[in-house]
Amino acid sequence: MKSFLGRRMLLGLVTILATTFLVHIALYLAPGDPIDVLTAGKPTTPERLEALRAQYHLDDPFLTRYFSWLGGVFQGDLGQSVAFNADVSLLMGPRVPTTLLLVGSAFIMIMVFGLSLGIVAALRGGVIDTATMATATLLSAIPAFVSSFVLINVFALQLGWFPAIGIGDGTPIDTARHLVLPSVALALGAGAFVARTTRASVRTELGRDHVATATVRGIPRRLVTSRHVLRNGLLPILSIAGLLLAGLIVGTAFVEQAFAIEGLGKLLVTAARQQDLAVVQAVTLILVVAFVLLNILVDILYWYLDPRVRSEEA
Amino acid sequence: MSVAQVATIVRTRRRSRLSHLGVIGWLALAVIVVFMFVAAFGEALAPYDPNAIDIAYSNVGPIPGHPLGFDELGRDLLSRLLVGARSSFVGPLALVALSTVAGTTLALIAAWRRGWTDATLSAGFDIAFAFPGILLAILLATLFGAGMAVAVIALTLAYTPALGRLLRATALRETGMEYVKAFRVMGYSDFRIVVRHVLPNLMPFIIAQAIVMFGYATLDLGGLSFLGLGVQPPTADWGVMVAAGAPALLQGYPMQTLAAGTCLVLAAVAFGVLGDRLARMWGVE
Repeated sequence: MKSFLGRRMLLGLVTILATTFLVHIALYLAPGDPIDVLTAGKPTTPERLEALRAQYHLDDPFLTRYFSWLGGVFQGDLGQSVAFNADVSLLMGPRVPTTLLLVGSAFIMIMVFGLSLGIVAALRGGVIDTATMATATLLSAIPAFVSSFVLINVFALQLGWFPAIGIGDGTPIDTARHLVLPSVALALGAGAFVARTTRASVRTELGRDHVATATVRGIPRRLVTSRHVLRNGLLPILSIAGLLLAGLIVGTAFVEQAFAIEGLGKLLVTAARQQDLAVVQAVTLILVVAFVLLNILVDILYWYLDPRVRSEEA
Repeated sequence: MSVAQVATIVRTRRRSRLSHLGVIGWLALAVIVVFMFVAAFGEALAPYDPNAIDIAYSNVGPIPGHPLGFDELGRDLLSRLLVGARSSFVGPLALVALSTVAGTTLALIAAWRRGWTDATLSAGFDIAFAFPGILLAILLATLFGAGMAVAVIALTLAYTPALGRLLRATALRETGMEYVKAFRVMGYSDFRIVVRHVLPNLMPFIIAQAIVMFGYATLDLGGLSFLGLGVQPPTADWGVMVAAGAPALLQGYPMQTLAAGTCLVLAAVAFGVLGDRLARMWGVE
């Protein structure tokens, strides 16, 4: 376990460093003076230029530049936003919990509905199976930036069940009401993907010899299903977790934009449009770190749940 | 003609039976043909100038002569949808073409050379595959400014390893086949064997993958345009139109957002279904 975990963490660290390095290389390779990229071509004062040169250590050699940025990050200094005229950490602080809430509630929806629909479709078969899978296939083709507006139009404007935009006044009930539609929008595509994967995997398990053996031995169907089919059939869901998480993290950019929610995703997009590198760099860093940590968590879960992984390690 | 060449021809012939597409496959093909026709001749088909502004008609619904009504600036919505098809498909076309060529080349090199070349390329595919393309596009847009070209380049960097990864496995199997060994014994050059004999046998797989990829590309580039990081207004583009219609949608006039969104989803579904059917028909799932 230790060597396994160690290797995973090392790989994660390499991914994080590579991503941050990539940004600096791109800035270095960009044609022209990097200062033009940083000011996004807008006219600015000589003092401002001087401050930017100092902030990005533009007068230093390339590697020094990178490591002073990295050193700053470790001291909690994420730099200054050009577009918002504020500390990047102050911009991000209040937005982190909003995005976490959104991703968390979407994740719960994906797991509850995706898994249960996939299992029911696989075990019941027939019309239920066909209908569920056709719906899932259709839903997985609708991107969040389209489904968001369909949801707003139907459930907020026509039916009036939920508020259309924003995240509410901060009281728990109001926040929950505001979270429903954006979470559904974020969860739809991934949930459909989970449902299809679950169904395929449970189907495969149902056809295995040991399941047939258990059935002819007269073990009740309920036990066969829970002990032999589902236990093995649900494992592959963990293997698509990485793709799923990446999708959710990127999805917040679209959903927060559509629902006008002040979270990390919307901040990232606004900053990118204004070519505010300090903010984009910091948000990307946070997202990649979150992605890497969650993937390590998934690997650990896999290690506990699947004995085959453990025996390979030994 | 050698036995191996005959075998190649027989395999290609067997794969091309269009009647096996099925009703849904044909339907998807029809949708794609219509969309491509509109993309090519949108300007001629459009009843009005897609950029003619008339604020008096801002967000006015369908009236005779304007079956879809007007957008927020009073421009004819149907005309903008028709003209917008081109900008919504040109980006994906470039993206799919670039990443298919790059992905195929890299996969063939990996499968042909094997050894450490394969190991290095595969590791590269795996690492790049894990990094979300949209995030890369956001990063590059910050550095080089928002625009369709930057978005296409960023997504090419993300799509290439995805295709390379898939194709490498298939190419490995193909390069291990008897006919390849036969050609080697006959003294054919590596380049000739790979390009004239291995590549044609992989074409059904590559074409089916490219078509599926086109569907994803339409949504990804449309999404970036929606975020303001792809095609820039006032160019008529479906992704841009989804965003442009959002304020009107909140005030109870959803036509522009939903019409443009429907076009994007319809195109994505059609490409996904057709690619899927072709793969099944050619036995290259």
